[in-house]
Amino acid sequence: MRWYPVELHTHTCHSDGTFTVEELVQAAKMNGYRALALTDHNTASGTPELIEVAREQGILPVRGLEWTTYYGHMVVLEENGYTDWRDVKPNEIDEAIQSIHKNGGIVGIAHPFSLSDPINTGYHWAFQIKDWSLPDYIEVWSRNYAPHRLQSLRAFGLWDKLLSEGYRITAMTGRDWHKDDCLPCCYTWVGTEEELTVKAVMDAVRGGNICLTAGPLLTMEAVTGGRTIPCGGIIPAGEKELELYLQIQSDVLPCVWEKKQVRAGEIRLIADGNEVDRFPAGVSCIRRVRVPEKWLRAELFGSYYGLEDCRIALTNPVYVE
Amino acid sequence: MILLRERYRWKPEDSKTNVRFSFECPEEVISIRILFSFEPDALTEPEACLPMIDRAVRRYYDGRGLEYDQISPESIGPLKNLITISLSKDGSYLGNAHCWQKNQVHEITKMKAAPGFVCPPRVAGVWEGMIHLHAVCTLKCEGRLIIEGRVSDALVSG
Repeated sequence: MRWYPVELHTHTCHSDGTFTVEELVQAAKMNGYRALALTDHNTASGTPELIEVAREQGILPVRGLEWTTYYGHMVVLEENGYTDWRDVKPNEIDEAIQSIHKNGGIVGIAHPFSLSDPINTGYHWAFQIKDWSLPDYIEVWSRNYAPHRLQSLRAFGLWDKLLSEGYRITAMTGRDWHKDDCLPCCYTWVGTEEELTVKAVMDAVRGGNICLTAGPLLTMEAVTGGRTIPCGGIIPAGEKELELYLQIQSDVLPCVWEKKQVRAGEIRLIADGNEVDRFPAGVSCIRRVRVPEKWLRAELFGSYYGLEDCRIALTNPVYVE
Repeated sequence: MILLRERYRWKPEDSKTNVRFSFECPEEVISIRILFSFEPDALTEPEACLPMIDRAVRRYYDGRGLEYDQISPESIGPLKNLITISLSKDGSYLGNAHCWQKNQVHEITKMKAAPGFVCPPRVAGVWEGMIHLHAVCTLKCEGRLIIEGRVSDALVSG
């Protein structure tokens, strides 16, 4: 499995960002991103320039925009065509997401518990989703210092609830990058067996082959019955035990995150919402665990800018058929 | 030539509503210029802002302890009005100028469009737009929308 850092939530002067498109791409390059989505508020007018400039810089451009409505913000990626955001009522969001899917796009709920109206308008997710199998992902970490924030705790709470209800929804970070503030952020890593392409990014997001981190990269693969199952993958019914291959890479993006401020402590395994194992974080390890009822993921805890016992990295879950 | 001239009066209860407008562009027009402004653009009096900020902060904490984030309501403000414009042409969405400025000018031709918008295949024809009142924090807010059409390089008065 190859892992690539990507950022899929950014803004420029095509909406309320400070970046020009060129400055955004330069900043992305300096930060080590391999793919970059431009998701200006309710507009894709910067996309042609993104495609041109990002390709020149060796970064994979991803088309997008951020639905910026009165009832929530939603990142839309790679939609062919257009679903109108303007008159969607709080109880009509399912139909809108279905329309975006029909057009080949994916959607992510942005910063669902952020400080909202009237300071940040429409930031708090108030759309009434009837079918939670529709959204492709949810941002559990958003903007700067995300592991510190209450909004992250609430987003993880929603994610855990959905997972435990049987929904397979991918957790992502969203830097919601408006300017080059150089503040600590979290990273989304895309896992793929292939070269990094837009399709590979979309497949990884849809399928949950995604790891998140505020520093060191924690990855996980499960092996059972002779099969290797990536994050987001499905363990066949009837299996009793899993071997988990866990790896921590601390040398990723070396000039971007502060090693003195973000330090790995221990790995915790979470199955169906409960901690089932914890052990000191090494470079790599293999753990044998019982197959959970619905899902299992790994989390890395440590210190984060003075806060101890803080979640600093995680994998998306493997699921049980 | 002036293609549209409108005045609006908004109040906080108008927040989260859309105001539709439309105008027709004659064949000879090669570019349109949208002049949109509103006044005032922010609620500045701390005593007026604080109850609204308090409500937002309470919603954020949702009954949890203030040890998280340590948001101080007094450090937030003034509260800005956020009012934006979106456009469609011949049934196709052109975009949205999602910005905070109280005086906005957006120029669009077949070849070049202001940030937030893409170019339409043709300028002539029926345009439709919406004013999006994301937040009207001030007790009153007066808006003004003027859309000019340019014929060649000259602005012709209507």
